[in-house]
Amino acid sequence: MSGLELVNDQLRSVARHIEQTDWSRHGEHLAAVEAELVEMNLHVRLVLALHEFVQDLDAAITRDIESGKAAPSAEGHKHLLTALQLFAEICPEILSAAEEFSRKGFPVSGIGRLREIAADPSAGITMAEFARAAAAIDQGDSRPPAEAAIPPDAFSAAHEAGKPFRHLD
Amino acid sequence: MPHSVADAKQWEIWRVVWRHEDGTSKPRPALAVSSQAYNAANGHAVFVKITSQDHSNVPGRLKIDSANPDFRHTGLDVTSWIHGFDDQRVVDADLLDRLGHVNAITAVYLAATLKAIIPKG
Repeated sequence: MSGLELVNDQLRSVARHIEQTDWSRHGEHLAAVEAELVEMNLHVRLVLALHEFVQDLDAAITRDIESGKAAPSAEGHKHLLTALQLFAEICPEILSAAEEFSRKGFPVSGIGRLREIAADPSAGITMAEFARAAAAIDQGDSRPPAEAAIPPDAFSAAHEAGKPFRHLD
Repeated sequence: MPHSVADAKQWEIWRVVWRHEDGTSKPRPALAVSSQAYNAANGHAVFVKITSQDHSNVPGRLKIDSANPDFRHTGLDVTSWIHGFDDQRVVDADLLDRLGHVNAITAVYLAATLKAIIPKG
């Protein structure tokens, strides 16, 4: 999970930088505007790359959990939700600046993808879906999770699927 | 004190008498996956096997890692695997001891695994 912690550090760093940047200066001096444009494009590229990394990590971890290679971890899923929350906080701010540059005819690459991430950072992230479902049934450490409806059909189908492996200890 | 299947809550780990097809049996940890309403209506609870053996080819399995902070709530001693497709109907006499429970994230993955096996159509 250290990969996700790294992503979160990067996102916090971008957020700090955005707070310190005076985006209004772009109307005053062309040189300053160009410098800000370069900087903002870098932020956009960084956010897109970090989100792609989170997607790849989600796919790899989900694959490992589904194969029994890795255990589902409450801590790991919490890191992922933190990353998504940071995307939700950062993306609208960057997008707002990017839209303004774009309206004025400056090239902002990746703005379409940035719009998608800003609209729903967790779209297509499997672990986010499971983390939210887990939060809904979690009753604390001292009690088992609340019941989840499992149709009786699932028990009979699982019984059939497990037959070839029933002899294993 | 004897236990009743009405005591077994979904997502609890119990030590149960596990019956084999050759007529033998042995105590082992297992996870309750049926609801208390199901148990009450049917007179048995559905449990799935928990094993400390790492059988990488078994479908529908989930790992319970002793390195995870919430492992202590499982009542297990070592890293283990839930075999979601190796189920057994457990009656009152086969319920031995309640050991602990799995965490919520394991429960949702297992529920999804079981729902996904239902034939479509």
